[in-house]
Amino acid sequence: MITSITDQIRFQTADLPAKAESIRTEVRDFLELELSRISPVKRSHSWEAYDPDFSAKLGEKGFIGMTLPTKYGGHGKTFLERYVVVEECLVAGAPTAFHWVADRQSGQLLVKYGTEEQKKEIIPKITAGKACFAIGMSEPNSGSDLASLRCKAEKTSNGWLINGTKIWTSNAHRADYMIALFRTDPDLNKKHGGLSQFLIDLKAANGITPRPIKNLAGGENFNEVSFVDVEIPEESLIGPEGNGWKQCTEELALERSGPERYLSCFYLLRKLIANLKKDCDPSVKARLGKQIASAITLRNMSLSIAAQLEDGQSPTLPASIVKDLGCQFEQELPGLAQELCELEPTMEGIGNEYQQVLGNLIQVAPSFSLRGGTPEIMRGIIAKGIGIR
Amino acid sequence: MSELTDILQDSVNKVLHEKLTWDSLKSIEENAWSEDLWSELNDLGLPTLFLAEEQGGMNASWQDAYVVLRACGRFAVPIPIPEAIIANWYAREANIQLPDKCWALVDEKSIDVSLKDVSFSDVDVPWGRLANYLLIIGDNNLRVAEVKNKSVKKQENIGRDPRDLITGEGKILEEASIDLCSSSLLYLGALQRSAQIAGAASMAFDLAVKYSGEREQFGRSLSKFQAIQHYLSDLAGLVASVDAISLAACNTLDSQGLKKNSHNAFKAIAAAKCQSSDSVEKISRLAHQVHGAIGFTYEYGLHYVTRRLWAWRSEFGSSNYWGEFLGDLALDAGENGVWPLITK
Repeated sequence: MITSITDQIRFQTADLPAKAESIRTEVRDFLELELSRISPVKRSHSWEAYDPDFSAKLGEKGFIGMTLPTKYGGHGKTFLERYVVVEECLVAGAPTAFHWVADRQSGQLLVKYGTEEQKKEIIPKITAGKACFAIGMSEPNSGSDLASLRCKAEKTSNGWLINGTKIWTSNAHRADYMIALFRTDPDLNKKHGGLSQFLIDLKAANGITPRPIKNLAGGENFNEVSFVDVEIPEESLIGPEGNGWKQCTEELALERSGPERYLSCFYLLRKLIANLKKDCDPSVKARLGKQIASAITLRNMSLSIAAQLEDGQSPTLPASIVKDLGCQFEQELPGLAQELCELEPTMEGIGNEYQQVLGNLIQVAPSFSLRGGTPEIMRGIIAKGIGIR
Repeated sequence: MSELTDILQDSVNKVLHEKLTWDSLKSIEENAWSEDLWSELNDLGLPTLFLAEEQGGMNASWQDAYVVLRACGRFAVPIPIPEAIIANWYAREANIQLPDKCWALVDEKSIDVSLKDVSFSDVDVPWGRLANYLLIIGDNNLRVAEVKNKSVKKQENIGRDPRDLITGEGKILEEASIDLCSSSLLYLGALQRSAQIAGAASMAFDLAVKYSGEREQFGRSLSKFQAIQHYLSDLAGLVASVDAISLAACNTLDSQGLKKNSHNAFKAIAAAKCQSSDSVEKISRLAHQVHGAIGFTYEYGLHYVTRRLWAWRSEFGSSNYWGEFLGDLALDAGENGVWPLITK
């Protein structure tokens, strides 16, 4: 075979342009100052740690909504400049959950499909770090098989009437907005075609009840959200009716392509290094070094995807590969730490910083391969990309 | 990617695809040398691609050379073209011209060198049985020696490529100064093997995909089984990551060189060889598993690449060797320095 299937999935090496690299020091300095007051366990939650004050400060610095157009209060920067800010926040353990979804995907979606009024009203709030978004996709009977969802939006004389239940919706109990996918055509045979996306003002609508679901670690981030005869205005529809699946797919491309797909546990890697001796056993060094090699590899691949996004491409296949590999990398870190260091994992407030961070991340790591599309789904996408499915 | 990269990618893959069929690989394996193949690839200018155009080269970068080294792995090139490419890179650095068929690279620490003469005993030289010259790599200089009174202990690695031990003497024909880091041969060997692993891995993957589409069981092709799709998806990710990190290391080498203070290049090469060597185990296992028993036969040529993957995995430092190297860097960098170590 002259040509390889892998010719289609090459990750060309991307170097960060000087204007992106030059932001790094500013971000690091800001984070060092701001994060000193935040506990190690909270920092280890990284992009799942909710902290409106921190987000507002980050927004003040101009580090949120960086790629959104200046016309609506965004900063008109490149994906690569944003990439530097995002990766620095992740490795520093910055609590970014409040603005994370808005910054990563909701703002982009609204710029592309929202009404002029929505953009003028909401984009400045996103950029200021003052709008928290939730993603209404999964339902009790529709997880990986998202297109089978049943939550419905019916057209009324002056808007839409929503009924149904969403689940695993992060931050729904405290978010300002939700962008949700509902069935607008009751014909279930029209699987993808019958779906539309809506913007819901959670603070204004009546009939929405979020019930936090406690996770195994005791945290309450995600919710079951019931919609009972919820009336929302006509202009809540985002994009054309029936275009929801396509828009969702575009959103998922942003959701799956970022550096958070391999860096969720990096804070633990740093604490582990602080707790290993420089003259530790060569086998320990070798195992640690393999993890460093993987991190360097994944960063190269992740950066290559950012450059493709900046180029206007939609790298679905490469992004699925990096998410799949990245997830394996970050998910194995807590177990690896336990192999390399004898210190036991502890609950918050007991033991040293490493032990507390480890104690937290061991418990939350199983969720890494569940959020944003499971490895099974990623491998299905890869199989399609390489032409066998 | 440069225009040269594209041209090399197309032309080299085309020629190697034509020349290195499973039959011809079998025949070369039995005879251990193909003069025809050597001439043909020399005529293409592959060994001298690093040289300036006025010296008959292509003024190639490491990223250009990468596509050739990778293709050599992909098609299991059973002659020392990659070694000759590296030898000519040294020649460019030292600004000297090499005699024909000068590919045998040795570290000066592995032989005895006096002013004009060298002697060596059981020094490990790929294709040593055919080496008429040695290129002796020192920290500050490069010497070309003509080999005399050579005796050979013929050996092969499990890829069936000659890894001979040679004993003999030599007369130094030329000496030039170079400004390189110490152990440059180890770094370049590791990078070369990473590129070859990336190529061989891509062939193992392509063969697995092709076979899974052709072979039917239970009334459908293997590729329609979800278990097989997941194996192949796993393979795709591993192959792509080895390619990405090896290419990235070439990129760093282009921008940093291999001087005494090229720390980012050392780190990038270490990461490439660590990652590629580590991935070989899973890549070869999955590729063989998808093939079933046919992949275990000599007749079906998957083994031309998988045997080399297993050999290259250990040559010029294993994943443990380079892992320890990176582990030391990480521990020295400490909690706050490890991320900058990765982003630099």
